[in-house]
Amino acid sequence: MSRLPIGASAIPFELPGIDGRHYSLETFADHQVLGLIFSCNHCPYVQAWEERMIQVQHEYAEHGVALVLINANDPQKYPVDSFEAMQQRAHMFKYPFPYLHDQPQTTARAYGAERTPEVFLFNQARELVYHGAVDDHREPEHVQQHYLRNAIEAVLKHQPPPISETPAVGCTIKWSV
Amino acid sequence: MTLSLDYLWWAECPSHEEGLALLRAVLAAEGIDAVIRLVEVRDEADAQRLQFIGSPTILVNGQDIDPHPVASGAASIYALTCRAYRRDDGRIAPLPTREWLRSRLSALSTS
Repeated sequence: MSRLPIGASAIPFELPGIDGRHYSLETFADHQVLGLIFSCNHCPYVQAWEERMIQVQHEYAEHGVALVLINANDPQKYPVDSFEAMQQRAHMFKYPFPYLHDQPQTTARAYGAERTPEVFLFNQARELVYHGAVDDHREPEHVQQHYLRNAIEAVLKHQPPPISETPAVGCTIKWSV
Repeated sequence: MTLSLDYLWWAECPSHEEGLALLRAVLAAEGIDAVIRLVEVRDEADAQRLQFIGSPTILVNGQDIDPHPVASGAASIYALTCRAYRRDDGRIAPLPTREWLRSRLSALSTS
């Protein structure tokens, strides 16, 4: 499985969201920046970064930035990553972004995602400009490099991000086979 | 008294080295004499056999260091997964805090 390289075009998808709608790249056509974040419910790394992802979406929503969470984990192996559990978690934490279910795992495989959380950030032309971690430490008080935030700021200024790729730190995606 | 510690870890979960360093640092700072046995959990069969609830797991004299471990969310209670630790402020993290670890090890070393 190869990961989408920096500069590559976003790969089309159509996935159900927890709100009953179906989402695709076209859904976000009027957004200047699109961040796809492979995520899930159970992973302690996701839970450590969850509040920061919510903050980033709140902060940049008015600037045309859309973050979208995609859960591809096999719910047979992890029942807390089921569609119903996704709905509950999004409600509990007041997710300000769509939370999509990649049950066939085809989108995760197409992007070459391996971890949760793992960010793929696209500019307005939907070219990949940043891939990797949200920032450089799971403990918010120890963060020194705000990778995602800095990449968004750069894209909004039509500049390349200062850092375009970092290792995604988190749980492995739980594949069905 | 020398504590017997088992440090169970899974390579796919990224914090095991940091967790081990934290454990060693707390033991040294508290002056707790301990022998640490490193146990790599390589597959699901290992996880079941070792009753592994997530990486990293610390056993003190054979007992889990956390009297109230957080459920992993996996279908099986024992699984290849990253372990969740609940902090005092309620947040979930992949490693315990230094203070929590110090408190638990101090309590267990004198019990």
